[in-house]
Amino acid sequence: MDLNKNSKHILELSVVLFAVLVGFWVFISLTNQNANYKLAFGATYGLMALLGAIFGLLNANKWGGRKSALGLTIIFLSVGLLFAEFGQLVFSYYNIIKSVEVPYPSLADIGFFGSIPFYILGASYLGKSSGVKFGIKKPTAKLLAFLLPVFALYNAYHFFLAQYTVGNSSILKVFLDFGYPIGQAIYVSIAAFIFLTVRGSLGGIMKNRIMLVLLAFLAQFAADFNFLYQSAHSTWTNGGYGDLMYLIAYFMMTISIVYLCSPLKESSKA
Amino acid sequence: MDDIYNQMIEKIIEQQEDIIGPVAVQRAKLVDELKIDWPKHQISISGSPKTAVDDLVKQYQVLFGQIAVETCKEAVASIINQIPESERPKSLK
Repeated sequence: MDLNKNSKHILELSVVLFAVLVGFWVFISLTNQNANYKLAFGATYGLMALLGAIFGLLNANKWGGRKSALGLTIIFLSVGLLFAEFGQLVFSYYNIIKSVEVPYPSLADIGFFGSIPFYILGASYLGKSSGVKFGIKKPTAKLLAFLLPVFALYNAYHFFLAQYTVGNSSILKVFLDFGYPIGQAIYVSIAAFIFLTVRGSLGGIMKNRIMLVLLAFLAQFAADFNFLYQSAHSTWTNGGYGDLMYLIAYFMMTISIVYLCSPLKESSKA
Repeated sequence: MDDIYNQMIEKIIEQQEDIIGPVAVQRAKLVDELKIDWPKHQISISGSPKTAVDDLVKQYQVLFGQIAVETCKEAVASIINQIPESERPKSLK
């Protein structure tokens, strides 16, 4: 995948930032540093999401911005990352300033939960960009369109909601407890559907760029799923492997935005 | 007949513009047979109109593969019947 100079610099910056943050995480994990280091990691790795968000918002116009499907894909993914970083910062504020280990529900959920509709919109416009409507005409695709969300929602129910008791929980907590797994099931179903329906017919320069975004969605889903799972089983620790999964997801989303935004070289003439 | 080809080209570029924004026009301007003043939606073809359409479709095919061809076919679906089968661009058959 070819990149222009500007995109190359941002890609290099993303890789360096990722390497430094992973190095920091390995250091605090292997040397068993005190909780402050872990909280510092939790407060800083969202920079990766911020980098991708800013780059995406500044470069979406190259593909038409809000006037085109690909431009909207970039905008929605970038805003999703921006919301995620907001969630990270507020979460860290509660951790460090208010000494709350897992602030849930809290203002951080405006960022974390708020990112989900933007990822859903981003995935939907990615589907439009990659011509998913031509794939959907096939009978197998129609079956997939039905089965994928059912499977994803069943998993969400099985892992997080089957044993659920409302008890004394606030309405907000109940809403978020249901909303997170259902929202995540929606965006990952759309991403999986795009992959399965267009992988044969999608080609050209954009194919790998689009596949990279789909992979980033998978990484984001894995991180979100793990967070819910660990939270439900009270095993979530700040600065643990769950945070590393989020860092990987933000990194993948950032580099997929960099590749998606990168303009085409003249040498790509037909 | 030339007018139909112009309409086809305009519709293809418009459809692609919905997907990839200004890149659609940039790609169209790479087609040797086309002269485009997109703000005025003025298109003139020099040479074979069939070749012009085929080359235009190829420009988008480079980006998205067969999906782009399907998108172009859909863009011209309402007017392609106005051209006899033998005169239709190969890429849109």
